[in-house]
Amino acid sequence: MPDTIEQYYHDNVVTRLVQFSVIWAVVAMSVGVYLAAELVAPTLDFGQPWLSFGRLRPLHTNGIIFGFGVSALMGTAFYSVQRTSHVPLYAPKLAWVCCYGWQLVILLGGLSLLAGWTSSKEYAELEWPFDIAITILWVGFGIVFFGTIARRKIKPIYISNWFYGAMIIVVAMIHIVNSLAIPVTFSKSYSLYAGAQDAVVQWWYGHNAVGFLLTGGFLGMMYYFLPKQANRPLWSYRLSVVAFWAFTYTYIWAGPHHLHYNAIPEWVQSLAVVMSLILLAPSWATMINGIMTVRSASEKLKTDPALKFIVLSLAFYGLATFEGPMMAIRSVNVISHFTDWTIGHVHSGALGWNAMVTYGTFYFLVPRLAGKELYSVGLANLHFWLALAGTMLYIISMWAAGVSQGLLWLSVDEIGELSYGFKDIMASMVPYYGLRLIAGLIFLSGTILMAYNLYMTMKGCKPVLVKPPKVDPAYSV
Amino acid sequence: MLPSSSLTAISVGYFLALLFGFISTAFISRWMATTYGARSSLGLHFALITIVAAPLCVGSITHLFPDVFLNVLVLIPAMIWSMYLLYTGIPIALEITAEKGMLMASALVGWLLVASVSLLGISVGLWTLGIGPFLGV
Amino acid sequence: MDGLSLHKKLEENAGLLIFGILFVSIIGGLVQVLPVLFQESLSTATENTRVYDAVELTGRDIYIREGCSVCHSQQIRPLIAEVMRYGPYSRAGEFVYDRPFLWGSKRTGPDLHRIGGKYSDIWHRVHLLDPRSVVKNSIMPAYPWLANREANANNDIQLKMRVLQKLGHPYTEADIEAAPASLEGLKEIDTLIRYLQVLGAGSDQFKKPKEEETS
Repeated sequence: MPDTIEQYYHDNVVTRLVQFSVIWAVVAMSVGVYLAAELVAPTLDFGQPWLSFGRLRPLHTNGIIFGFGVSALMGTAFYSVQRTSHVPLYAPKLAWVCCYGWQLVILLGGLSLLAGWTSSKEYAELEWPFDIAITILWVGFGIVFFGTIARRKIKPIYISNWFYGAMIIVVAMIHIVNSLAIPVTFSKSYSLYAGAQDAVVQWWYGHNAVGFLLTGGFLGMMYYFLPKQANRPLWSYRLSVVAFWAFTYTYIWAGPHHLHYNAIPEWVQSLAVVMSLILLAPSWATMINGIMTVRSASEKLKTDPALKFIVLSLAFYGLATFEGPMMAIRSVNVISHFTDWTIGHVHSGALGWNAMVTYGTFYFLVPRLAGKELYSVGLANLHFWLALAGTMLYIISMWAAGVSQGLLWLSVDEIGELSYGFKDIMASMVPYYGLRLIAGLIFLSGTILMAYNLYMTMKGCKPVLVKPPKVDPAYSV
Repeated sequence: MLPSSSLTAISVGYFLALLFGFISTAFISRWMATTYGARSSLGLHFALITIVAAPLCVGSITHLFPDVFLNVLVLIPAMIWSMYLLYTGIPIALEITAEKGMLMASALVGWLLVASVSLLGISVGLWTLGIGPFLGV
Repeated sequence: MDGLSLHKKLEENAGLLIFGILFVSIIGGLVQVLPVLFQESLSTATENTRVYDAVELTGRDIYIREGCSVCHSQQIRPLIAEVMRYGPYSRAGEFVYDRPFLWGSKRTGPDLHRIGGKYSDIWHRVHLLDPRSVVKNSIMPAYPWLANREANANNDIQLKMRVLQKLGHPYTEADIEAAPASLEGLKEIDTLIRYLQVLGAGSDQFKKPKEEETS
């Protein structure tokens, strides 16, 4: 007679969320590639409103952040919180509601974006009915997550849970405040804030959505899965404590660096510069912690492609968290604002850090969930090189485009006239947009290989039942 | 055609940036050597960096023809070749296993990315402060 | 180590940890964002800024719907080259009726904050329906469907104005009453063009036309 299900970890919901995350990755990245193609061949919308660039772009960003990203974060959070607490999930039925509810909301939300239901506020485009649904599901996520922690059998709460927890709390706060609006119809609302005030609220939200979801949440993923994969303890516990609190405090202030030289108070901009620069320290501290944890684990690389991804993701994390503060400096921002350099920065983080750390985690996690070896290590290695090539090409093409734009827009000749017309400058960007399209195709092809690889790994397998191990009495609750 | 003073300034600046890049990367590489158990002779690391960068340096002859497409056509494969030399060359030259070499190469890629973006940022910052092309800021 | 043993307490108590995170993360918002929300100058209109009328509001909502701010900014920075290219730099008081703000974060196309009056209505019409017919190398998508759709198809203009009135926009009852009539016979593209043509009129560097000259 098998033990009751209560005695085993609830991993089926994890598996489902990983599957959804991979599907979203392929879908949302394909939309991204289509957008890149439209910038080279603008008639690719075939005169259809739902294929138009302006409507497709939020589908790409929301699909990646809320589809690919949140599904991965929710799944890995559920997986790791159980194991760091030595207790099965609290309220597993609620976890399933969050899992399927989230997919439904993002799918319907994505379709609503194509229909033109949008607030136009970046990463908060979904209109008010979806904002409410997201809030309810997010609270559910928090209940399952913190409920599991409250029931834990190990006294100390492991650091990965602090990051996931900070993500849940801060994203809830910024989402609710930024989404405040008065509804007009089901598909339209007007923001509570207007003009310059709306700008400051929006970028307090926008930057911290990146900070606590795309950075904080994925750091939670890294802090659990990296030591697990490398089979090594964390290099410095002390460093992780200091870095976490510095990170949580400092990130919040950096928002207005999206608004340099814009019509908001000067002191708000200056504060953002200073805090963005300070932010470099906790970010790099975390990166160093990760790299030093894994440096002695090289023998695993022969058989384990997952580790390759995580190691490289840390390098790109270092790049992105260095580039960000640098672009927050006013004299650099003068050139970079409104250009493709910002896009390049976003994607060095999104492709190099977020996608790669997730891919590494999935290559590690899925064989364990399936109780089988990874279907093909060779394919995973090929994926690694495609991901690296795609990311590098993307970054370099957008650096070139962005700096050119910034420089040419501001260029004044010897007699004090503008040197170039806007039209001519943008016409010269097409080669870079073409390169970026190729980069996207390369990265997408790697992602599709992974989807196939993971599918074949999971095909026909039975769910693996894992019991929480006994707890060392020294750490027992 | 740019005025010759501008050309000289750009050429000298570019060369100094290259020098700085090579030397600093060699130092960083040697600094990383102890972490990965690699040989730590500075001359060896400098030689390794020179070989790794060779495809890019030779390929950059296409800068003589200021056409974006041509430069891209030559330099992208050159960069791929350089990356290949980095990942395969480190284990061979520094006498460590392929796996340790992979970790160290990734760390060096991290440094190179940060150095590149710093170069970008410093250039841009200098331009905005008035050193370089004439900008209406 | 004293700090570390204090931290142990946080690590072993989920409630304290949650409170700690909330406390630490709320500070930045309180110091940076809250004062901005109460700063009068950011919500006081410049002399020439007026609320959007029914036609312009409809056009603005179409601008939002089609994602125009994905490629076009509405924020001219106080930089010499930018002012030369686009006009007087943008002031906060010009945006007090912008819900939401449309400053944008990317210029794939030019900034539009002072596009008003620079091109004729016909030019805008032709450009929106087929950008490449007036700008040869343009990568802007075409918007042919705007010429076919009725401006007030959803019949929600009065609802919109009432909501905005609640939010403090100075619409009179007469304005709201007259709104559907003002949209009669207009297509979406007409309202969008009207919106584009008032963009930038709020600058206090422009002299207001004398009352007698407008009828």
